[in-house]
Amino acid sequence: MENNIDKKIQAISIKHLSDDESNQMWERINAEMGRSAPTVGFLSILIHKPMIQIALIFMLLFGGSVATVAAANNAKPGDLLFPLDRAIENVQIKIVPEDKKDELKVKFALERAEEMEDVILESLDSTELTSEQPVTSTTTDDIATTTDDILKVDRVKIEKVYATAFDYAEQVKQELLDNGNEQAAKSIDDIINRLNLSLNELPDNLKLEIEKDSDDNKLKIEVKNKDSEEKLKFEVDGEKSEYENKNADGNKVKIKVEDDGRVKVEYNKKDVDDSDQDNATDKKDNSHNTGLSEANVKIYQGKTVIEVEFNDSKSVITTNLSNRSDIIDLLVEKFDVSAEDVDSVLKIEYKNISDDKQEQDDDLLDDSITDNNIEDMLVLKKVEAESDGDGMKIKVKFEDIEVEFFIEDKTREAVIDFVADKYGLDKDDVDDKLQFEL
Amino acid sequence: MNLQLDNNIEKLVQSCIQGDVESYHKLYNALHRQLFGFIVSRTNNREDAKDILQDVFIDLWRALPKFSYKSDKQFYSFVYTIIKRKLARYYNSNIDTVEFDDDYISENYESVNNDTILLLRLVRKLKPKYREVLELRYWSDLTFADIAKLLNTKETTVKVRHHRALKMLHVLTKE
Repeated sequence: MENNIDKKIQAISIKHLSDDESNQMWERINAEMGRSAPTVGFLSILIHKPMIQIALIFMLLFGGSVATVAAANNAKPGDLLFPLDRAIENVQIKIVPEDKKDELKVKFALERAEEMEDVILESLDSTELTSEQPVTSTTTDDIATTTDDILKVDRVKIEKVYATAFDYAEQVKQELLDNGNEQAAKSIDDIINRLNLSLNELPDNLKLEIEKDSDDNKLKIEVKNKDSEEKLKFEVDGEKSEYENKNADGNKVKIKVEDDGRVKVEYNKKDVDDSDQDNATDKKDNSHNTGLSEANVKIYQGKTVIEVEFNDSKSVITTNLSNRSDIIDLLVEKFDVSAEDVDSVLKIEYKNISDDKQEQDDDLLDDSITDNNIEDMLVLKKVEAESDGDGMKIKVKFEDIEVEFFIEDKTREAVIDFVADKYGLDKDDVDDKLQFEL
Repeated sequence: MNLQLDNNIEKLVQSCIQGDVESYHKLYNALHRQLFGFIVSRTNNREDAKDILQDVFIDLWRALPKFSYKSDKQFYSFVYTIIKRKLARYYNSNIDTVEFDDDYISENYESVNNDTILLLRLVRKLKPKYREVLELRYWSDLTFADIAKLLNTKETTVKVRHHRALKMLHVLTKE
C-alpha cells in the first residue's frame, strides 16, 4: 500500500533546467560574481577579505592562531567565540580610514541580522533536539539535561541574538546619523526591518516582546509561551550579560556569559512535592536501544513527565510537549528506539488537572497524527460544492487537510456519492455537512 | 545524486574558496539539478524557483571565502541553510501569491495527470517536517542517510517520518 504511494511519488519528476536555461543562469551568476569580486587596493582587500588581514594583525600582536580568528567571525551570540568576533570587528572599525568606517559598520550590522536569522532557523529545527548546544552546564542542584531545559536555553539564545542585533543596529544608526551619513542610516533601517521580519519566523507558541528603555539604555525582553503561559523576562545591558529568571513552575534559570565567552547555565529546580518525581533521575541517554518495556506519560498543568522503563533501568524526562506524536518523536530521538515500539507501550495519564484542562488536552491529542490514529484524522468537517463551468467544484475539508475535486455531474446526489465513495464515508454524514450551491 | 559519490566536491569547494571561477562553474553544474528539485517543490512557480536558485549560487559564492570546508555533509548543510533562508524570505514577501495552482504543476513537473496533481496537493498539506523529508527524498534524490545528515537528525527519525508521510498520503488517496 505505502509502496504504491512510494512508486507514484517516485514517478513524479520535476522539469529540470534545460541546458539553455542552465547556461543562461550561469551567465547571470557569473556576472554577479564579478561585481562582488574585490577591486584593487589595500582598503578593498581589508573590507572584502578582512579575516586574513585581521588574523595577521592578531598573530603579530598576540601570537594567536589564524584558525581561531577565522572561526570567531562565524561565531554567533552564545557561542564561545562570540566576544572575539565582536572584538575583531571593533579593531577593523578602528583601523580603516574615516570614510570607510560607515561602510564597515553597515556591513557588521548586516552580519548581526544574518546571525540572528541563522539562530532562528536552527531553533526552528530544534524539535530535533541536538545535544550540540554550545552551552556548558554547571551543576547546582540539577544539570540542565532535560529537553525542557534545552528548549529554554534555545529561546534564551534567540532573545540574546535579537537583543544584540537590535541594540547594535540602533547604536550604529545613531552614530551614522551623528556623522551625517543619512543614506547609510537608512540602510540600517532596512536591517532593523529585516530583524523584525525574522522574528515572524519564531515558533507559533512563542511570543516575544521587546522594549527599549532609552533612559537607562536597557533592552527589556519578555518571552511568553502561549501554551504553558510561562514567562521569561530579561534585561539586557550592553556587553555584560547575566540573566536570571523564574518560570511559572518556580524553577530558576540563570544564564551568565563569562568574560572569556563561555556561557554558563544554572538551573535550580524547585523541590518537587509530587511523589511521582521523587525518584526522578536524569540519566545520560542513548545507552539503550532494546528492551523498552514501559513508557508512562503523566501530563500535569503545563508540564509533562515521561517515565521510560527499559530492562532494568528507569529514566525520567520532563518536557512541555503534550501531544502524543511529539512525545513519541522525542523518545525515538532520545533512546534510539522505533516509533512502533514506543507507540505500543505508551500510556498517557492526566494528573491534578481540572476537567476543563483535561478536555483541552484531549483536543491536543486529537490533533496529533500517529500511525494509530491516522484514520481518525479523516473526520469530515465540511463539504462545499459550487457550480463551476460545466461541472461542480468540490472542497472536502477534514480536520487539518482540505482537498479539492471537480466532477461533471451537477446534482447534489452525485456530489454525495462521489465524496462518500472516495473516502469510505457515510452518505448521511456527507449529506449533513454538504453545502451545495448551483 | 548521492552525497557520498561526490568525491570531487571537496576539491571544487576548496578551489572555490580560493576564488577560482572555473571550479565554481563545475560546482554549479554538479549541484544545480539537485537544488533546483528541492526549490521547485517549495515554490510552485518555475520562474521564482529559477530566481531563487540563481540567488543561492550568488550568495554561496560570496559566502565561500568565510567558509572552511570540513566535510561534504557540512558543506551541503551550509548550502541548504542558504536555500532555506532564501525560501523563508520568499514566503515572507509573497504571502498572497504563494498559492497552489494547477497551472504551475504542469509547468514544473513532467507528465502530469490527476493522480500527480492530487498527490502533490496532499504533499503540500503535510506538516513541514514530513513534507521536507519527502521533497528531499524524491525531488533532490537524496538517501535517508544523507537527509539525516542535512537535517542534523538520526536516520531512524527520517525513516519514521517518511513512513508516516506515506501512510498519511495512502489514507488520503485511497479509492
